Amino acid sequence: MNPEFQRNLWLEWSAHRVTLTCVVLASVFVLVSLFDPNGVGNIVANVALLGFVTTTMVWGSHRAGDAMLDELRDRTWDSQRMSALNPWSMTWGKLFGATVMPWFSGIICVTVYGVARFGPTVAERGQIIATFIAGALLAQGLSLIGALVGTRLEKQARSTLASWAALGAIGLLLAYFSVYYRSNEAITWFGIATDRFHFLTLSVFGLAAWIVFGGYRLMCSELAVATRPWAWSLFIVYLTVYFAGGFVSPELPVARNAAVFAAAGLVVAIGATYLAAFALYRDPLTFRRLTTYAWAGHWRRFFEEMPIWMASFAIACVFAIVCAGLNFAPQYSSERIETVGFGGVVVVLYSVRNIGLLYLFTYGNSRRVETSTVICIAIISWLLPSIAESMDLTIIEWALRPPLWERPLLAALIVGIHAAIVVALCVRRYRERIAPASL
Amino acid sequence: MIDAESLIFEYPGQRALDDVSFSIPHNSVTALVGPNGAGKTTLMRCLCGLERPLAGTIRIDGIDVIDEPRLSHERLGYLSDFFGLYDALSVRRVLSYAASANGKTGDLRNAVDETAARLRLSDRLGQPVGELSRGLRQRVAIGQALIHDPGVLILDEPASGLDPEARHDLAELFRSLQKSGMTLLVSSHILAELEAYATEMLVIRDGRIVEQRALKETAPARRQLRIEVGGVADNAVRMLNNQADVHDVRVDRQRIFCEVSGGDAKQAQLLKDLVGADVGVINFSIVERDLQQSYLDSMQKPR
Repeated sequence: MNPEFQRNLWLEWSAHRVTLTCVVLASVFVLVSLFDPNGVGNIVANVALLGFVTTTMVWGSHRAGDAMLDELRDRTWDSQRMSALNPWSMTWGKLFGATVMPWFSGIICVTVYGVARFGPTVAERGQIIATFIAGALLAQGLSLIGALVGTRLEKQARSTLASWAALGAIGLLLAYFSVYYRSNEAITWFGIATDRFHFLTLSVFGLAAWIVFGGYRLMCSELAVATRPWAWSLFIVYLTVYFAGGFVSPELPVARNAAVFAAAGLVVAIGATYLAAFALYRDPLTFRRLTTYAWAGHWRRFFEEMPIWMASFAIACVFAIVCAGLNFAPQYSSERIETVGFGGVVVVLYSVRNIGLLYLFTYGNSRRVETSTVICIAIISWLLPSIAESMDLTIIEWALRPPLWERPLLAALIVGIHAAIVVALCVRRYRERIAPASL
Repeated sequence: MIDAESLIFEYPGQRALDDVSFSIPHNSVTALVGPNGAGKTTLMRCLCGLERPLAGTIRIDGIDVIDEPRLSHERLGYLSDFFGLYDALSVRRVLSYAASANGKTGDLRNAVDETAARLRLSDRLGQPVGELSRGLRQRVAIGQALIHDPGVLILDEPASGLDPEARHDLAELFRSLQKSGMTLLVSSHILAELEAYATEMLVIRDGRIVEQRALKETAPARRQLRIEVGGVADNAVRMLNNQADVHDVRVDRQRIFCEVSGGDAKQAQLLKDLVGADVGVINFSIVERDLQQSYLDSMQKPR
């Protein structure tokens, strides 16, 4: 047996807990059935489904995050990092071992749901159960990822990040249900009409698989298994294809589809760049390491230690260039997604400026780097330009917030100057505080 | 066995390891000593592949730790200065988990029993780790680190917080591990204890290795003598200063300290000459240069 799974079983699974869980759940279902006018029926089924969400998604996510946080808190993580357990064994050992009681409770709940639910066919009920199970896996996987990301953060930030990650997963699932219940219409994806329920079920399955894989990749980094950011790049391509599918159609001209695809890719890649830069640990010495490896010709180490936001940034640059290139192709509509054009380059330059600000605060004394960066960006990009606009000071407004879509070339020039100033400030602070010349 | 070359490790604005190079021989017990903040823990974590240095190479048993950390872990056991244990589990389960997680195959129960016997924990196997004393927890942690029979054991401050009896037991354990063929690197502030089992000393200061030497030298080039004389020491000092093989003569009231080269024969001749010169020799002995003295000497060397 996987030693990590077994250790978690030793800690979590006991006759006492199993008995208590069965008694509590049985009492709840019996009590609810007393209020159901039809005897055992839909009210019990709905309560069972709610029980599944509570146990696997809320309690289970908490346990999945704690599986990592406990190791850090109890200072056992170093010995695990040096163990012979491979990253996959460690990932699933924690993911399913620490959550064994939530899953046990959840399985009882979905069994009750499957039996008690009236209306849907057996296949439909099975599909609903499978979707919920994938959703629970998604929530637990995201919580584990949050905790893994937090291994290099301060103690307080670790649990906060894990909780936010789990909440994010539950938010995603709520978004899923809002799309599901909005209408019964088929979803058109790459021009193919697909059953809404099947499409959304597959979406949850796909995302859950990516999340578990993401957890595995982060575990690889922690267990000193060399990784390069190809999985992150592939995930960006997956999301691009997924979202572009809603707009691309084989019946439309190739140039139009290419423009839509590039725009979707740009949005996904830029979003991924910001997410990775803000959420993941930023080692202040990253650039010192990278330049040292580059000078020494250690390209393997260079790509192993390269922050993943750089990979998504490179992809965003490619999509921005494609968008700019397609600006010269015939336009089929005035919809923004088809006419990003040179605006894509401006978006990329904005990301250079904003991530530069993030590193500027990282190199400084600020304790709340991310919050300081967001406030700074809000002041530069929204507050000051809005004040200037209200006072009809157009030049100042444009100097801070240039007209991106109306005058993209001017915007690129101005934001390029912003980015150059921030990068220069970053380099100066880096030399002063992180890598002084005396080193 | 452990070879480090030109290691550089940095924290923001600070170089923690600066061009560190050394070689630790097989089957030795090396004391890693240095003041607080010298870089001992950082060096140990780099050796274990838990931190990646900016530059340099580390080889353990021929394996490049930086490029192949997982492979090197098979040959390594590490006890961190702030180690943790699974308090809710019994000693048997903790050791059993450590064995299987570290890739130990075969009869795990037997491996656990053997390790427990080696660490004198056999009567505690059923007890939850959280109920053990600090000394016993330390032994369980060491058991975790060595249950997979690593060739190299790295221990960061293993004796901190232990009572004198537990420290004595620990010293005995390290001696027995060395006898069994293991190579140990131990950092500690308690130099007197390190002396009980260390065969090598590695001194680190401000991220640099300032000295590495064997502690149990069989025939040192120079030995320090302490000569106590009755009455005035002037005569003896004058005579010693005139001897070609006698160096660094220092006087502390009626005690004279000097260094002598030339081995036993010269030492015997010197005593004979002193007595012949009518110096009232009360005591004539070799001063053992202990670890504490070696360490302080290293620390006093110019940077």
